[in-house]
Amino acid sequence: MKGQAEEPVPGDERLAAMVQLVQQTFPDGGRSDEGGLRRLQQRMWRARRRRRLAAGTLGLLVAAAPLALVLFLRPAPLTFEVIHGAVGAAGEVRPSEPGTRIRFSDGTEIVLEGAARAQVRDVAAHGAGIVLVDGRAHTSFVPKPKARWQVLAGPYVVRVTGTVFDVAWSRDHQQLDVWLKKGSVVVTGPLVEGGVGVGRDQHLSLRPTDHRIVLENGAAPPAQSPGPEGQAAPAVPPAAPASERTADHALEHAAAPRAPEASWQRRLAAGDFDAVIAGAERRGVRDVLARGSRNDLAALADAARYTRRAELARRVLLAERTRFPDSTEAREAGYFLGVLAEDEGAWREALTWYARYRREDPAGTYAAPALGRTLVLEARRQGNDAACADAQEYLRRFSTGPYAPAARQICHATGDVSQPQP
Amino acid sequence: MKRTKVAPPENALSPIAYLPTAALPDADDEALVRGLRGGDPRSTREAWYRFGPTVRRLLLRALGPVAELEDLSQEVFITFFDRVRTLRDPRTVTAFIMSITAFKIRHHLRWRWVRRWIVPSGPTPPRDLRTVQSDSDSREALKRFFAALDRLGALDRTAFTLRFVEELELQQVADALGWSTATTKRRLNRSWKRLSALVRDDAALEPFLSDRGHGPEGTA
Repeated sequence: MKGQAEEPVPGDERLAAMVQLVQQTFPDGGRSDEGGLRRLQQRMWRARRRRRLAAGTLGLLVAAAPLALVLFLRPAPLTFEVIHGAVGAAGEVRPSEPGTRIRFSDGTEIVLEGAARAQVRDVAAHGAGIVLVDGRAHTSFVPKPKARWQVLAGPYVVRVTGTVFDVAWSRDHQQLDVWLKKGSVVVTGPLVEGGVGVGRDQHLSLRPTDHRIVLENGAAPPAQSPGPEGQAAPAVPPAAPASERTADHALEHAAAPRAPEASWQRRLAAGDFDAVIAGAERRGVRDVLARGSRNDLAALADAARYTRRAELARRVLLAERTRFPDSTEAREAGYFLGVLAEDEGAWREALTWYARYRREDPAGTYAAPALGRTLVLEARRQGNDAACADAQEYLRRFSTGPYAPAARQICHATGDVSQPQP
Repeated sequence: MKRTKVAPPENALSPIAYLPTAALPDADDEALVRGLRGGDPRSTREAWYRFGPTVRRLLLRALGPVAELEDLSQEVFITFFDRVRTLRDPRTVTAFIMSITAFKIRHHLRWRWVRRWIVPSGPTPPRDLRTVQSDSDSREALKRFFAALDRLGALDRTAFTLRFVEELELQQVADALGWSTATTKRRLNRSWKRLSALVRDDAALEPFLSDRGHGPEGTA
């Protein structure tokens, strides 16, 4: 045994004897065996798997953190309650007594008049869709950034920002009436595929069955829901030519100066169409067409269309197609150019633009109206036989769309009884 | 013993793969470490057979025949296989695994000390010493001696075992514990004196020590 310490003390021999006892009792550690090796290898395998699992879990957590943050920060969907009524599983509102109200958590309120029926759908963080099945409703939408509200009445879509208006849809007479009290809306649908802007204190009445469009100033909503003949709007001769649609159009806009930094998109959303056009004129329309941003061009095109400045709208739409040929706006500009051409009676040109739009964007936003307008124009120009193929395609793709009755009529007239049923 | 160098295969597999391959009994420590670093499963097996007895002997002498012996032994090897890549000089592999074992002993002693405070029932009782020692006086002496060792701190006890029971050189003990030579010498001296006093004062050791000719002080 080696020297224990530098200074041996009494009892060293006794301790040395104890150390010797330990050495004798445990002379070696015994032989390693195969079983021990196998257990060691299994343990190492488990340890490695645990490490990998922990690393994977950590990686997953790190990767998921931004997503969780986004989900956490994402605003919650709006909620709504129905007063004097009940709401079904699909969002349909069942009035229990007169004065049924749909009140949303952001303050937006829809009041259903009389026996009006509605449905709430696609409730999101910044808006929802109100389907006016039949009857009249008084609406008050709270203006908010990113607000996306829509009122759907039959085949019509009323796009809303911050607005107070009354809307009525007669399912029996296929008539839409919109009375604006505040703000602005854009209505799209049959006869107004490109959209028509309705400003403050204006009344828009649409009846596609007899091609009637009325846009008038200062008409207050009637106390009762308008009938097909007894509405407050003045009678307009049926099937008025498209070029006469703007006869009574006189948008009224506030003369107050706008902040120069307000974007055209924002002004457009606020219904200030004239301000957009005035801004473009101040800057120089030619300069805007040559150097304006894509958003500015889109806003100017919309403002020009909504205020029926067809020539300006055409120039802007063509500039969009030239300068941003791969953009959605450029493709949609093709459709709007078709609408403008059709409004001016240039049917062949309109058909060319519709065909181009359908080719460029077969599943685009305006695919259905482009095809619908095509079949109507073809039938007018060359008869039902020429429109039959388009009518069949329309029924196959959009069997419940606004042009479905016209398509069925064409198919029926040509003796094609095999058209798809809605 | 003659040892030959064996290079690891080029397509070396994971060291945890269990394959019935031949060991490398003739490979020297350098070749063995190279094989371990290259992931040669034969090197894993050879390391287990070559260093296993040393590791277990050191654990036994430091802790006695405790129930956790096999677990501790395997933990030493798991750490060894994990860290063998950090070994700078492959010729010092034996000292390397001894230092890992010393670390595990310290860790186990500290964990046992903590458990004694947390769990009222105290530490796991040692295995029956009859399997390792047939003489009853010697068995009792061993129990008393391990009880005395328990009164040392984890570091001092480990140092004592390495130096006086395992008979490592002073420098090897210092390296294994990460101490300076002076500190190692000082602490060993202190441990020796303390254990000497404990053994001297323990009357229960008399039967065993008297048999060995180490009766009460002054009587030998």
